[in-house]
Amino acid sequence: MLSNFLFQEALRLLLNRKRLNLISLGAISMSLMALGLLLVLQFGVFKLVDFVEEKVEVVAFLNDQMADADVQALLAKIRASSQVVGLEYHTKEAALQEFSGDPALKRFVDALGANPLPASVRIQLREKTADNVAYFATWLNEQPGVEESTYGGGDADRLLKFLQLVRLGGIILTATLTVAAIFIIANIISLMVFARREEITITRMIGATKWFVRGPFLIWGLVQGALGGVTAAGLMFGIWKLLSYYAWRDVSVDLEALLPPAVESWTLFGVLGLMAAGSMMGLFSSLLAVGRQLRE
Amino acid sequence: MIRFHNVHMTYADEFKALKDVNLKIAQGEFVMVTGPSGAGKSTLIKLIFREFLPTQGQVIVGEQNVAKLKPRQVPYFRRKIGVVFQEFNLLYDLTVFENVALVLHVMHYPSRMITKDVNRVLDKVGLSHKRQQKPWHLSGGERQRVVLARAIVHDPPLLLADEPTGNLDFSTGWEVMRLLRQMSEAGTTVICTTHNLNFIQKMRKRTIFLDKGMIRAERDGLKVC
Repeated sequence: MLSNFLFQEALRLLLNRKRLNLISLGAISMSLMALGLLLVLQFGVFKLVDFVEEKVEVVAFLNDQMADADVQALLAKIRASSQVVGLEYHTKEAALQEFSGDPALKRFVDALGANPLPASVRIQLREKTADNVAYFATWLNEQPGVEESTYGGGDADRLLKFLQLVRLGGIILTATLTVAAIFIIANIISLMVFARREEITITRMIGATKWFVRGPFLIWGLVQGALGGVTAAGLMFGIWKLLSYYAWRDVSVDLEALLPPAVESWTLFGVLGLMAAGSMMGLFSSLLAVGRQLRE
Repeated sequence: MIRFHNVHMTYADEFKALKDVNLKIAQGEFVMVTGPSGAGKSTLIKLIFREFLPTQGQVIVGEQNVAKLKPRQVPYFRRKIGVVFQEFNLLYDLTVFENVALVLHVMHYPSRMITKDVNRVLDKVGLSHKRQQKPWHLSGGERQRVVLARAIVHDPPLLLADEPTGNLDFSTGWEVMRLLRQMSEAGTTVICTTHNLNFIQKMRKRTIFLDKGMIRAERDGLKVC
């Protein structure tokens, strides 16, 4: 009975003052769409970071004079490190085999009459952060029999650091946009609450608790947020499909391949996620707006 | 029922609305409060209702010192009081029935009981035939009767009426006064402010004269104390 009344009141909020309702729905949808697009970009950057990190490996080139027993001892020592998850040993012959596919190199090696390529060890690390990779390469350099170790040097280092910076920037931007969106929506809801301030005063006068006053506004905020989520999902879907179409037609780029599976397939999960985010935003904004009116 | 002990009330702008007011009102009594504009009549009502807290002194309603109520207790305290104001304070996009029912919704009454009680009280104030109308279709007297119906639908032990006839002509105002008297005869304590001396003469109830925030005189029935 109580909930029926609160739902009826929430419905009255939704049906009356259509202009304010449309404005707040628009603000929620636009904020969610901006957040959604930013998240998609974030996913793209995460994926790129993972891709680059996956490719990072430390390569140690070994001295040609090293005895087999010393090579085995070095490999055992490297394997024993807790940082190492994978290791591949390439002999001089394997290196030559690998490079003989390139005709220019093959000609060069033939002219020399001997195999100039060193034996090498390719090492996959558990943590592929720039600092960790550099630290491990330095340690490797100090091992007897290791001529040189490399991990793509400064380029990989700079790319990883840049991508990590982009990722951090994206997180800060997402958080800022979320807070800004909540404040914008709360202000729009404040207008709604302000328009009903007399009603709130009367209801308080006849003995309504704060939660009774808040109830319809919270339900209204939840519903508005969910509707905003659906609208944002629809708009994003439309924009993405349009972009994908033109990207494929004009520059043969498959944008869909850049997205993580949940967004890629535009499943129910994605729409529900936006609805949930919208509802939370609407709920929190309503709480802020009504709280302010109840304090005044 | 209600006691004022050395009550002072000063507003934020330093205006002294009440000065050293001492007052006792018994259960079931009908008390009229009169005086010129700015005498402190509405402030007195609002202190009982806990819209304001006294700057000094104590306001006791029942056994409760209103200043000591915690904020979360205030709604429950107010449910024991019916309030009628000069400004009708109705919700204009609700029907007459819904306006009156609002109090019972706030108090979590079951819907069957709400229908029964609202119909009963609308009968009492003579507005049964207007229950589905919105307030702006009603005359001033009818609107005030809706407010009165809303104030009494939950049978509160205390009814506060602040200038309930202020916007009404004499005969319509008198109808409202008669309804207040009926409530009092049924055992409800009624405190009614008015600046209309005709009503005071006709009602022949205990009357408190306020001026510049102080009780200047008291009349019990027709006799001036």
